[in-house]
Amino acid sequence: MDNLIALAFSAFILQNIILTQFLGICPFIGVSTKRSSALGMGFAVIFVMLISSSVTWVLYTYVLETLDIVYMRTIVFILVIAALVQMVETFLKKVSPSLYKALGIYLPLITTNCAVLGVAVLNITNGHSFIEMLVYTTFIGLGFLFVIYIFSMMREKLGRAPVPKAFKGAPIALIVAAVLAIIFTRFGD
Amino acid sequence: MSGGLKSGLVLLTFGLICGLLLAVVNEFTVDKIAAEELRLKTQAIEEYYSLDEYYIEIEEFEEGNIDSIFYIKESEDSDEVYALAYSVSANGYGGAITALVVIENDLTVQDYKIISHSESGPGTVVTDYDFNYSQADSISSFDGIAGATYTSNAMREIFSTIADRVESDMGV
Amino acid sequence: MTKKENFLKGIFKENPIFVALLGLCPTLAVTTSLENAIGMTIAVIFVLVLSNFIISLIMHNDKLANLVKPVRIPVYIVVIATLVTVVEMLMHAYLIELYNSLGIFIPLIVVNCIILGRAEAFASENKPIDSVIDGLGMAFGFGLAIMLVSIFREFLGAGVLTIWKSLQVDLTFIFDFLRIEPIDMFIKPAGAFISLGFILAIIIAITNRFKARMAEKEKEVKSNG
Repeated sequence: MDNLIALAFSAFILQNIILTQFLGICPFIGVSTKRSSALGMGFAVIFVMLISSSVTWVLYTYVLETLDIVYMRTIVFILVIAALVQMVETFLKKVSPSLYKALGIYLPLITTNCAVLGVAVLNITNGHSFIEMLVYTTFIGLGFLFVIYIFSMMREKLGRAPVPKAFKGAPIALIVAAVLAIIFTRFGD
Repeated sequence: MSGGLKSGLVLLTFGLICGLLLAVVNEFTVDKIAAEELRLKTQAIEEYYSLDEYYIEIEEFEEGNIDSIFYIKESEDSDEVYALAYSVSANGYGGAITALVVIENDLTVQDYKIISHSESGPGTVVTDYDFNYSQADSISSFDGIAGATYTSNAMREIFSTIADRVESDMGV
Repeated sequence: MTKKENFLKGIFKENPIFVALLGLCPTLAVTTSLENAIGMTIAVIFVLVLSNFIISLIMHNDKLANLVKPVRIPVYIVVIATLVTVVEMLMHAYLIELYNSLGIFIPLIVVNCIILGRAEAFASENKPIDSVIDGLGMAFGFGLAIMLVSIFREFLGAGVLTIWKSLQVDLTFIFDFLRIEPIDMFIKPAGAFISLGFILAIIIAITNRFKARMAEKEKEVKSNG
């Protein structure tokens, strides 16, 4: 249990997926100009990440490893993620139109979001058990949501700030992200 | 034939071709990869005991935090272990820390060094920090890194794993 | 568009990192040393050029193209993922130190938007030879950008530039002359964000000035004529 708590804390803050592992930077910069879209993207990522990491973990441990074809990892994982995103999209559209309305437009963007494939691969390379995988993925996802949400609040303010012309948009966003990164990497010291 | 089925077959064919291609490349590289992984592991040991003079036997572990134990002997058929080297990992602050600990047969710690880590902040000094671990069968004299609790705990875990089993491994 | 223009557009006008802001993850993650950036560039050149070539070949065969069209994107992904796995295995076998330091960012080339983007936007509609040139230009544009960031970071953060394995340029004398230590924050995550932010701003400032000058020249030409 202690181990799981340490793993959760480390996944949430210390190994924060955006600020220290640099995964999912595209949505972090691209979809963080408004609070509502940051929340939508965050939840969509958690949702897809959990499903895809579970499926890829099971596939890897019970199919790829047993057949001794671990070199098919990248192909299988990315196809599974692409197919899952499609399925989630169709499923949501049918079952819960309101949720689809909230998350729908972010789902196609997620296929090429390196955070999802990254976490699926990290769960394998770190040698997580199934429970560890669930905890790690959940807290990595929550860390993503947390950071992108904080960042979107900062960017809403930045939009009105008198920033030099050359720094407008992405450059100033990156520099603000650096300040966040300093805070996050100093947490455990 | 329905469109969906046809598309599925096309995709499957592509998958199979690519899978075959990868199997071929894998066949070519798999031995080289294993050899390189081994070289990287023994490279660290060769700093202390050259392969020309000593014989190194490797025992690998799948579970637990010991990755491998290197038995350094004076010749291949000697029963006596001249020295031991442990490659042990533990979870630090930013991820796994892997250390190599070399122990002589009188249980003095010859040296320890960090093979890989992903620490940040004060934890980065782990690479050349003196933990004051000198007698292999006890870690009573352990000095942690100030301000880096996770890193220190990981190193303590690494050293105590070794202390627990070094005597029986050495056969004393 | 001539072949030269086709090649150069990837480096300047449509630079994937500085202009299109694609592939920022590896730009931040593997730029801790120049060597890592060079290794990443080699991997991306290999994958991008070959994927552009193969996809262009497939889409230029009418029969194949008709079959593939409905499942175009998954087929592209399979091709790219195969090439990435080949690179991964070759690097693991022949450049193991580099393989270890690039780590997860080698398999993640699959989801690098630059590669799928070029497949869809260029290779599927152009001749194989042009696609190869486009791939080379884009990969060089990506490579030069991450090398620039890594030079900035490694110089400020460690005072050296690691070109390949033990081949290093020691620049610490500059720090000695200024009587300061290298600022190791630049090697750390925060340094990645700051470096890229400033480099982007500098590049935007330069392009803005360049554009303004071009506009002025045009005006002059017009008023003279």
